[in-house]
Amino acid sequence: MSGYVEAGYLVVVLGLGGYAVSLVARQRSARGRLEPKRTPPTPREPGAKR
Amino acid sequence: MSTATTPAPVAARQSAAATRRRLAIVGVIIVAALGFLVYKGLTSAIVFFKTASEALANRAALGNSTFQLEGTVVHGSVHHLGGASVAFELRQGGATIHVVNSGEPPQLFRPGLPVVVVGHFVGTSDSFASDQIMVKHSQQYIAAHPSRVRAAGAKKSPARP
Amino acid sequence: MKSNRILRLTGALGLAGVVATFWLGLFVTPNAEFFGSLVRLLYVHPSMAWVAFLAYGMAFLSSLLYLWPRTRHPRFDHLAGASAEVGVVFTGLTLVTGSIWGRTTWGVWWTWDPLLTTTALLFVLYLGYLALRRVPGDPEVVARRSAIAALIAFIDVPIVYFSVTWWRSLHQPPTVNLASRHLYVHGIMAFTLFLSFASFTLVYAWLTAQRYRLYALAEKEADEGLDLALEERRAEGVPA
Repeated sequence: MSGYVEAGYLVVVLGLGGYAVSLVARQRSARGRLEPKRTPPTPREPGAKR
Repeated sequence: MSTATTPAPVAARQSAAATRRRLAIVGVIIVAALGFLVYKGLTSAIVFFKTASEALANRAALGNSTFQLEGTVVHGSVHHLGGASVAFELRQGGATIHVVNSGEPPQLFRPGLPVVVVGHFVGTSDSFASDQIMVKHSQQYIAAHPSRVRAAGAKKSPARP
Repeated sequence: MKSNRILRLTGALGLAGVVATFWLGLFVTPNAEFFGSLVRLLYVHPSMAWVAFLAYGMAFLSSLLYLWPRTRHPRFDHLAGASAEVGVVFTGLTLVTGSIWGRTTWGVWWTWDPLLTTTALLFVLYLGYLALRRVPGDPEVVARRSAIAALIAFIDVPIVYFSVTWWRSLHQPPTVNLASRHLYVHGIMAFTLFLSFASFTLVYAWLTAQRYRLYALAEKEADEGLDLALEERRAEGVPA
């Protein structure tokens, strides 16, 4: 193959993968900022992981 | 700004000012980019190329200005000149224009295909000097016959970095 | 919860579909006449553009639902923002994969062809939309002006799609032509192309849902921040 083909596939993997990872990381940090303020352990919201 | 009415700590208000400044910069960049793209759209994209017959019909008006010219590469007309140059004829709507391109044509360049070349007429002649060839291809993709796969693969071992 | 399980399933199916598409696209599908192995970019590039259109369509619909008084709800504002942001990612990938493909087939990384120009315009329009969403203000005012901006930006989507038929273009018409209802590819190549459309659509759904959650979290955080600020003010003895 030409190298261009592989580059095209790689760009898609890196672009979407990077974006997905950034979204999950931002969610985690947002939850981290929200959690400590709550004194009573509130039940986990449906979106929470683990 | 209505958030100013809510009681916010001083630090938050300062960062709001920084946010606004950053957004103003982003806004200027985006508006400039939009303006540039609309300009490109109206000047280059709306008539992306002139066909060979149009170019010959407007030969006098075109002078030696640079434009995109479209036509089909005539079978048997392609000659490799010294260096990386290539000469060929473009035909469209009964008009034929002789083109000399400085530089290697794209790997998919071949006779019988429509191409768009970027360049200008030479002197007062009807021959065209280009420095870029763009190969037009159809939207159809046909599986190669197995025996041809090897040939295509061999032809395409990239000489390009 | 049920919605959470559906989302996980969507993500898993999308990922599996993309893996299958890549495997078929890189190793199983045949080379094409004339294009040789360059045909393999068919299985990544058009699906990026398709998802971008879909994402902007979703942002358009959500914005309409937000502007319609009977259905006005912050969730539609959030969905519009989430979908548009994912759309921008896919538009960026459309431009980059298209540039790579263009370099090898046409011979140029970029040219001011109507399709390319209007697609670049699409990218910048929605970047502008995302920037506009960040301009601070009363949440309802921000949501309303964002919704109007999403409706305006969407005008460019049909222009992009029809640019290859309306104007002289270097770019070929779509291989899956919705207007003429014609398909220009067959067999396993067509299957892989459709698999790529389906898989990246699922990936789009998953990403949009994740981005949507981020909006919900940010809103919650803003509410709590406001409560906290009010408390501080009261403690300082300043009338809030």
